[in-house]
This record gives sequence, structure tokens and C-alpha cells, in this order.
Amino acid sequence: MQTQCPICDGIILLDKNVEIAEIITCSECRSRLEVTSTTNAITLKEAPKVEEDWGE
Amino acid sequence: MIKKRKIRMGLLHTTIRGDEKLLINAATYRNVDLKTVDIREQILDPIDYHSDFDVILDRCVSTIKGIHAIEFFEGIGIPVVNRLEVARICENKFAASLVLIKHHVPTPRFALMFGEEQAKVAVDRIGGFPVVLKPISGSWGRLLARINDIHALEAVIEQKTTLGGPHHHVLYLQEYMEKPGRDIRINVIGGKVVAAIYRQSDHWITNTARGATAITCPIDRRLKDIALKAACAVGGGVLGIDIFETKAGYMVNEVNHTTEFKNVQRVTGIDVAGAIIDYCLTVVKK
Repeated sequence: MQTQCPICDGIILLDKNVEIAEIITCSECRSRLEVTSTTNAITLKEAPKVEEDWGE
Repeated sequence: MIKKRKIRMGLLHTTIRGDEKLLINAATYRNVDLKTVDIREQILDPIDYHSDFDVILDRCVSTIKGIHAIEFFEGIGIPVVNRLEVARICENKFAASLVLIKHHVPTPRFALMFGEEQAKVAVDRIGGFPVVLKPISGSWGRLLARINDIHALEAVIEQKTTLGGPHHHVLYLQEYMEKPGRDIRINVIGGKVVAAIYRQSDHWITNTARGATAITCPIDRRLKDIALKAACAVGGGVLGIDIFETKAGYMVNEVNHTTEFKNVQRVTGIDVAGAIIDYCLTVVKK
């Protein structure tokens, strides 16, 4: 499966088990992206910035 | 013949990381009906929220959202891993440290104060410089300051209290522990020690999120004992415990309640995700 990076327009190859809300990295521009849809076409948006309360 | 229905599990998340994907796979393998629940999209209204989950696994990367979500789901009668009581202790370093000493779990000396003058006195009481100033809540080794002298202490406190929000006016100081270039991350799940790694780094901060290398760690009797004792102290569940090797023996640094484990699973080959799902199945709504 493949889609386009919304930041650099580069081609991104994705695993078939990709999940909505999964974070991936564009291999061309290194942007962190979040999967927003997996039905029909895969869509991506820029991932949320790490917030102060993020962690484990 | 009555067909046994699948256990319905909600995996509560913000973003999906490699850890959550391992959990999804482990649940599928165990024939669990797992649904992902993005907390960012929820309206937590107890009158109108319809859920048929038997159990919820909290994997929110946002601690604040996670705590509120646990509060909600426990409030409407769905068991959550980890329990609210456990999450509330672990998300606050001061609360966790207090619980550890209450249960006689070795931990570095610490003190909490709200002003610079009190911090100067506290440094002397906990053994002098260097000390570590930590945010009361936080993770991945962020916003930690190793403070080597009084000038650095004054500067960091001034910056925190001037530039930070009210929670940065809470000053948690911890004794600086000399480490052998690593610490230990050990996963305890449902009262059982599952796996451990060394987190090795030339930096004094040894979180893998800060570039430390994960290496398999053998689990000896003393390590197992202190990990189980720490897990029991905070109330059990699914935990990632950070342990220092010191001259005085093992010491528990912190306990994490939404532990990341993909590095542990990768280097040890132990199915930590499977152990987490198996544990969740033991706490399903009866």
C-alpha cells in the first residue's frame, strides 16, 4: 500500500495492517505523520507535537 | 451447544505506537474482540456513552487524558488496566516515591518543596550536590536537570518558577545516583516479573527515548524481589519499573503505569504484549 506525504509529496509505503492513529515517519522529509483513514485510500496528516504530559 | 462469546476489549489510545500494534496482534492471536478507542474523539458523557467492553486497556500517551479516561470508564463500571488508583500514584513522582518508602522499597532520597530557599536546605539534607530536579509528572527523561552546584540550582529554579506554569513551581529534588552507565527497565505484569532490559548510555539520562541502547538483562533473585515489591506498593497491574544499580544495592527510581515495552520485547524475545493481554483477560467484568 502506498500514499503521499502531505508535507513533501514523497511516496510513502505502508504495511497492510496499518492502523488509524498510527504514527509513521516519511522516509524522504522525516516528517512524523498520523494515519487518519484506512478506508478506500490511506490519508495522513502531520502528527501532533509531543506534549508535556506525554509519556508512559 | 452455547457458543462462548469473545471477550470485548477496548484499547484506549491517543496515537498508535509500535507497542499498541504489538498489543493489537497479541489480542487477535488470542481471539479477543479488540477495538481501538481514540480518546481524542470521545465525549465522556456517562448518560449517553454506550459501551459493551468487558475491559479497557489504557494506552494513552497523554497522561492527563489517560487519567480522565480511566476515571470515566471505572465510573461507568468497566474495569480498566491499570486501575485509577495505580495510575494516580505512578503519574506523580512524589506520590510514587512516598508509596515506595511506605512499603520499604529502596529508592533514592527525595524531597519536595515550593521555593528556592527550601530547595537549598533540602539539597544539604539529601546529601549535597549533585542533585536531580524533576518535573512532578513527566516521562522519557524530559525536563530533568542534573544540578551540580548552587548557581545552577538558583538558575534552574528561577527559570522554572518564572517561565513555567503552576505545576513547575512544585520542585521535586532527588539524590543523584552514580550508575554503571545504565539502568534497568523491568516489566511486572499481574504480580509476575516478565522481562528486563538494561538501558545503556554514556549520558546520565538512560531512557531509550533519549537514545539509550536496550540490552537483555538477566533477572536475579534480588532484582525480582525489589521489582515485585515496588509493583505491589503502587497497587499492581501492568508496570514498567526503572531500577538503579547502586553501591547500596538495587534502588527503584520510578514506576510507569502505561509502560512502553517494544524494546523489551525486541531484545528479549519475550511476548510482553501477550502477557499484558493475558492479564487484562483476568480482570474482565464478571
